[in-house]
Amino acid sequence: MSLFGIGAVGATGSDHETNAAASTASDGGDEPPDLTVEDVALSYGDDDPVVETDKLVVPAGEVTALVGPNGSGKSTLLKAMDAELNPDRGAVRFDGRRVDEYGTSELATRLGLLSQENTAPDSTTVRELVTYGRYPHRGFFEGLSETDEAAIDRAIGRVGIGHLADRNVGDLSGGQRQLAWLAMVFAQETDALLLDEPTTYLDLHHQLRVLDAARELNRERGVTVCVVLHDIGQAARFADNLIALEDGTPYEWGPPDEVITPDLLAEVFGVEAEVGFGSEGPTIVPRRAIDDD
Amino acid sequence: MASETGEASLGLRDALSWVDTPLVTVCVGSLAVVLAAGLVQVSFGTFTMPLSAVWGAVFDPIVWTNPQVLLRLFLGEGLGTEAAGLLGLSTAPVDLPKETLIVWQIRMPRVVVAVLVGANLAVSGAVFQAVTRNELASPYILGVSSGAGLAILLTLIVFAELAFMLPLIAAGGGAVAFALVYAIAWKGGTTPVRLVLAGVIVSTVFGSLQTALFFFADDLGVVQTAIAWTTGSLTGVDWEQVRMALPWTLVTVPVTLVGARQLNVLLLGERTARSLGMSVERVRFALSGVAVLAAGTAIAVAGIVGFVGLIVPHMVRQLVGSDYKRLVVGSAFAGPALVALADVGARLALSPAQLPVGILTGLIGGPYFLYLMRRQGALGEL
Repeated sequence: MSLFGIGAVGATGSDHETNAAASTASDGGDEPPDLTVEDVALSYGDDDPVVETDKLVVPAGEVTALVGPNGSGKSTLLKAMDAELNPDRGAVRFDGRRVDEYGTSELATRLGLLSQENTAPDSTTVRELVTYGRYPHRGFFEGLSETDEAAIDRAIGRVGIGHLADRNVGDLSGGQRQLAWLAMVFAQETDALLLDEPTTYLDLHHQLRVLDAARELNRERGVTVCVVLHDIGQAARFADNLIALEDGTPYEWGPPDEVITPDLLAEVFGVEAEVGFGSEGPTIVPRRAIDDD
Repeated sequence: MASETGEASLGLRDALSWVDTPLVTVCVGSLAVVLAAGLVQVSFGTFTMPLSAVWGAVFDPIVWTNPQVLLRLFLGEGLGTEAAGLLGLSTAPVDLPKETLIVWQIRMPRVVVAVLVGANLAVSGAVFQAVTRNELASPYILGVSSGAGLAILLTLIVFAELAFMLPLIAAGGGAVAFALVYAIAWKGGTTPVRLVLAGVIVSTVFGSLQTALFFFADDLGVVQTAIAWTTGSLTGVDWEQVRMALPWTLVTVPVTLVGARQLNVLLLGERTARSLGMSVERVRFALSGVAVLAAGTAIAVAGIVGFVGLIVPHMVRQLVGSDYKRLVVGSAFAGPALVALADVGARLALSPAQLPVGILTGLIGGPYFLYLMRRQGALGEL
């Protein structure tokens, strides 16, 4: 990876490149941005709000997981963070500014999103797919610059799919494909990343590959990550912070060892479970499902 | 990775790095087909002459060494002479032998119009397939053709004095039909099947309206012209049609090529395109507009030639992959090949009687559509 970093500096050395190289090496000088949700109500059309929350913070430079049962509003909240859904009231701020005030392409250079369902034409090569991540950085008539090439190589290297770069997306397994999509979002080189259920439907190996790559990006470049996860045990091990949603309102948020309690598992997830404390955060041993009344 | 070569040559190589062997094969093969079909096409006509005379006329050095002759054919007598003057070329009148005159003046426009129609329909279909993310989309299936056809018939029968604006009028009719189809298919998003069904609905209604218009035609001649329009025919086209379609083609094909990167990103899905910073609705609207204009241009000069917009992008995709830069270029070459070839069939199938070319493309396209349906259980989302 550092090999590609050096390649980028050796090129023409525009501002952007130098920044990227510096932050690759030592996390640069810029503070990473945070995402804040302030007194927000979210709804689809004229229906009742799906999500209502007071203040929530996705802290800068950390990994935050949104957890909760199906239909608790995790993905809806994520949509508000990406300005796909305008809140009925309140505001979502990215780096202090309301997300709906950003231009679409301006936001895309700073905030990346990996959506839940991804489709690309089967004959697209992995490298072509990753190249689309540079879309917001390129002018209408501009070709790929050396900065772009370097970012693409870095992303492919970081996710560890160099050996797949020339394969067609249609020939890959589901897990490999998800890694390719992750590399595309990495190539966008944003300050913050939203990942919408990136591990759902993947085998364990690829689940860990996806999460490890995201974690590594966070550690090395200080990228703020907010990820929707299905598996609360996985979220507890992986994230610095959890936001547990129940019926569209946050039940609790904070570091995993404060958030995860037997009460939370019973009331939010409907599961009777034992919570232990390992060296890498809380461990959860589910015992039985609690019947709804 | 670092390259020692100069910036300029690197830039050029990068700019053309997407051109690959399959694409070159498609383009060269298509050119060969167009050339062969063109030679066959100009060999037939009311005035019988031996093949050697025809081919001698096609490659007549008088035509090829006097650029003002070609300019006059493509641009019209007055404009062609003016253009030749502006370019510093000779504007002297050229006397052509009889055979050359017949081949170039009367028979050649049919081949040129076939090329323009094929390019426009194929490019239009390619764009519609990306914009709707639907392998089955084409101006014909989406009702654009029927809307354009209706607008043209209305113009011919009711507002005859507006005939010079046919491509724009056809595009307008096509746009209205496309908007209707989209509105009917919309239910918090659309699916390929709903779009096709909505296309059937709109085409049926507009088709009926077209037939109804026949009753308002004053004489049988108009009805016959009208029928030729609705089936798509290249019989009797003239340089006039070339001059009508050429300027629009020079807009639609390059603009689509420039938009190829947007089309590629659109194919990743609305949410991803948006998260990459694209104004999805604006891009989709603009590119649909170009596709409607391309379809309108083709329909204005040749009527509704069906299925070209469906088959060509699909076949080209099989050969060059779904990258839209390659696909648009490949379609712009393969479309003319298909129409030129079908038009030869239309002329020779029941010789001496001539069929409308739309019947031939329909005969090729229908079964191809069936093959698509069979091959893919589920109708194709791109």
